[in-house]
Amino acid sequence: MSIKTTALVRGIGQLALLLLLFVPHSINAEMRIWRDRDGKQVAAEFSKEAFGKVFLRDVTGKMIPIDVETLSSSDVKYIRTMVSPKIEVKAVTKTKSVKANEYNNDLQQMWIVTETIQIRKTSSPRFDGKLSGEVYLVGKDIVSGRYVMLCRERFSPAFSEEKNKDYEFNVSAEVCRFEDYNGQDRGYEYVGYLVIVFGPQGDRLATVTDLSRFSDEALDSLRAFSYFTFFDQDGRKRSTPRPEYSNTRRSF
Amino acid sequence: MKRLFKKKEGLVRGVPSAVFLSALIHFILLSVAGGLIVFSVIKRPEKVFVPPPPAERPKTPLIKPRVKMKKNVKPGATRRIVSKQTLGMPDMQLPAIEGMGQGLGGGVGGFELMPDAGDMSIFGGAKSMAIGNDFEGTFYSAAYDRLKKKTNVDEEGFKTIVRRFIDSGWNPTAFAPYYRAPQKLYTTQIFVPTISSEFGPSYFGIPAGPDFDPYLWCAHYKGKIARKDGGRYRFWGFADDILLVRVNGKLVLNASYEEFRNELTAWERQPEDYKYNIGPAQVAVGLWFDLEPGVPVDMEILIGEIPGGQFCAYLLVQKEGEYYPKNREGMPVLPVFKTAEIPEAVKDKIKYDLIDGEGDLDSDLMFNVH
Repeated sequence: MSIKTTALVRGIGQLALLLLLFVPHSINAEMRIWRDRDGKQVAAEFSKEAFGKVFLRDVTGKMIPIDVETLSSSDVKYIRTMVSPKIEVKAVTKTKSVKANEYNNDLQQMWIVTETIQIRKTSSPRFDGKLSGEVYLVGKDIVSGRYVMLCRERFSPAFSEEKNKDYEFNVSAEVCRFEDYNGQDRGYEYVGYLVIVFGPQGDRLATVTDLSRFSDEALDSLRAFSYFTFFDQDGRKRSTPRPEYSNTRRSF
Repeated sequence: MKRLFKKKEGLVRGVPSAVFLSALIHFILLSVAGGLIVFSVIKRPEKVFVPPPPAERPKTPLIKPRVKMKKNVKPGATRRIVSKQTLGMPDMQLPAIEGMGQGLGGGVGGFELMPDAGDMSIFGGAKSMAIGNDFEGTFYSAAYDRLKKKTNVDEEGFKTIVRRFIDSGWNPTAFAPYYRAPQKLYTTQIFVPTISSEFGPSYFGIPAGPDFDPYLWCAHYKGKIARKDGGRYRFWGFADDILLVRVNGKLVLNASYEEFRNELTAWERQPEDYKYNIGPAQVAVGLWFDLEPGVPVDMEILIGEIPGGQFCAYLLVQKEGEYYPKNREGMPVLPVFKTAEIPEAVKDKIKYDLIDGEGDLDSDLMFNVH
């Protein structure tokens, strides 16, 4: 690598670092009393944190920059634990067929769908608080067309400076297709995921989904459904699809 | 004068001899005395053990410790935990994932994953949902030994093991040489519609797939039942392949697959057997049994799969003299046997594989002890 190229790469790296440093905390607009170490007070809301300063917006809309070092310990604790960081959320889908053996039901095909949820903290200020989140995996009955809740789980990532800013975890669901005892093809296929991450004050930081066929209201309502609840595209609960009646069953 | 002086001199000269003699005598005496001190051995008389004479003890009668037993000892009332389906997730307090949830949603990297109340399978949940009223289920597979190595047990061998279990008074030691799942499940109903047989092991925490052959397995559930008003009851049911029910030590239902029914234990065909459809086949009817009002009795259920393939175990209950609506085939729509309300999520799972009218999931008839 030439000296010019090395310098260019270093320059880009420094610029990227500078930009990263400038990425502020997200805004949690909450009017509160702020105090510095000398006991001076101001009623303002948090705006952003950058270059070692906290920018507060007072009731008149005026921006007040304050050095983080001069803030009272309780206020520093507040911005470290209660002010949400900026995050990026991604989900990566993998599907694995469960191989049958000679004793399995050969009328059934089964797959394990795994979503790897990746969360990256993109803001540079330290965050010692706790986030929380919800994951939903949705399937669809192949006969009735009704949607079904295949998996719902909660998680709570905690970032620390020692650890990398990236966190990931897996959630899985089983989907299957089978021929029932009436010879009817049944089962459910995987449709998609919904991931919601909340900040320490319950504010929604990120919503990531590939369920584009659902409206925002429908997505919100499916959060109330438990595992294996069936629902429609409008997020309304539907009855469980049942096998069709047949009198051609085995008689002894 | 000079002589005298000389005599005096002689006297003076004689003094050292006396002193020397005296010293010699003292030396001899001291030597003798010292020798006595240094070399004399004190010879103590040797002790001879003489057993003491037997003590005279007055004979006193043995006093047995007394334990007071309360008559009518009953455990305190327990609160049933019912999951509310309508709560939003942020409001729900859920127990930590253990056992069953592993492999499906295991958390990584500092995430604290919380299970869903709907994780309760049709075979039961990893934790009791109705303390004191639930049946504890233990999973055995004769296809594997205790170290999970393949055995050479075949179908006939497995039937022999089940027969040994029944003949020994439902003693689980019959399954002792074989694989037992570490995960126990707790359920308040036995009603498994037709599913693929690998779900049996997988609900007990054994991942479905080529590493575990889902045949020659059974699950032994134990619990207690009671009815405040007592009464006469009988079970209806069907299983592919094993469904045996014992109440108060007596076999009251053998609804195993017809082919294996009498191979597992002697069972007399009932007049109402195999008249109506349920699941993939026809329902078998059990023997009447009586329950005293409010008196809990032991109940055990054995369900199992012999060759692999599909599995089901339907258990309904009928109260003598009670009217039940009839389905399209004329079969009474009987209550699903249960000791607590079936959670909605479990009902949904059952309904997905249950033809409407082949069992009542919402009946008030419950056999809860508490």
